[in-house]
Amino acid sequence: MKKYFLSFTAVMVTVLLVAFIPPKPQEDMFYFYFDGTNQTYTEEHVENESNTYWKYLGKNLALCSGEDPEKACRVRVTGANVDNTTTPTELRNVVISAEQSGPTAHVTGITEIGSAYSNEED
Amino acid sequence: MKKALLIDAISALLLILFLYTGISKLMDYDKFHAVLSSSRLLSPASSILAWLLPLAEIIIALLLFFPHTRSTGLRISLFLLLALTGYLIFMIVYSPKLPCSCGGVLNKMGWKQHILFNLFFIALNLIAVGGSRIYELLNFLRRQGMPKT
Repeated sequence: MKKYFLSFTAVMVTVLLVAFIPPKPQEDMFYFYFDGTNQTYTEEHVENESNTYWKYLGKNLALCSGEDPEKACRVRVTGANVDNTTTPTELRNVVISAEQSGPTAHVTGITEIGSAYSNEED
Repeated sequence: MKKALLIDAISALLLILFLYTGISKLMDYDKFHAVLSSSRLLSPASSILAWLLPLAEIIIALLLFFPHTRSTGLRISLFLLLALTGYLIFMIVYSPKLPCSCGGVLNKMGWKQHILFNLFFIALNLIAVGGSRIYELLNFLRRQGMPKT
C-alpha cells in the first residue's frame, strides 16, 4: 500500500483541481455566411471579415456540411467576436484563413476559442 | 531509496498533469474539437484526435499510477510531451494567432509560456526515465547477487 501513496495523493489532487474547473456557460453562438451571390469566392474576399463578404445569419444555428467542400459557407463565433451581441451585423477580431481551389476559395482556419468554420460543395 | 522516491514523486506530478488535462479536454470536448478543427495542421484528423489525445493522456496517467507499469508510462509520457512541444513550436512558427488547445487552466497560457512549461516537465520526465533505468539496473544486479557499484 505504501507503494501507492504518492499515486493516490496525485489522483486526489487531480480530483480537487478538476472540481475547481468553472462550469461551461451556455453562451449564444453567432453564425455568419459568405455572401456568394454578390461577391466572388476569392481567397482575399473569404479572408476579409467585413460584412460586405460575411453576413450575419442568426444565433445558435448549424454549420454547413458537404462531402467535398470547395467554397466558403458559414462561420460560427462567440459574442466576443461580433460587433454587437444584441443586433450583430459584423465579425470582430477574427482572422479567417482561406485557400483557393480552382475558381472558388474555401476556409481553412479561423482564430478564437469556440469559433468554427464550414465549407460547401461547389 | 531516495532515487526511487524521486522517480515516484516525478511520476505523481506527471500523473496529475496528464489526468487533469485529459479530463478537462473531455469535459469541454466541443471547444477542444473546435480548436483542433481551426488548426491547419490538425484539422483533417480533428475528430479522431479530439478523442484520442485525452484518452492517451488518461492511459498514461493509469500507467504512471501502478508501480509495475510506471517505467512504461514514463517513456510514453516523454514521447507525448516531446510530440506536443513539437506541435507548439510548429504553431508558433505557422499560426501564432490561433488559440492553444490545452486542457483546463493551461488554456490561459500563451504559446511561449506553454513551451517553457512543457520543457520543465520534459526535464523532469528525462530525470525519471534515466533514474528508473538506473534503478532497474541496480535491482537486476542485486538479484544476480553482484555487489553494488
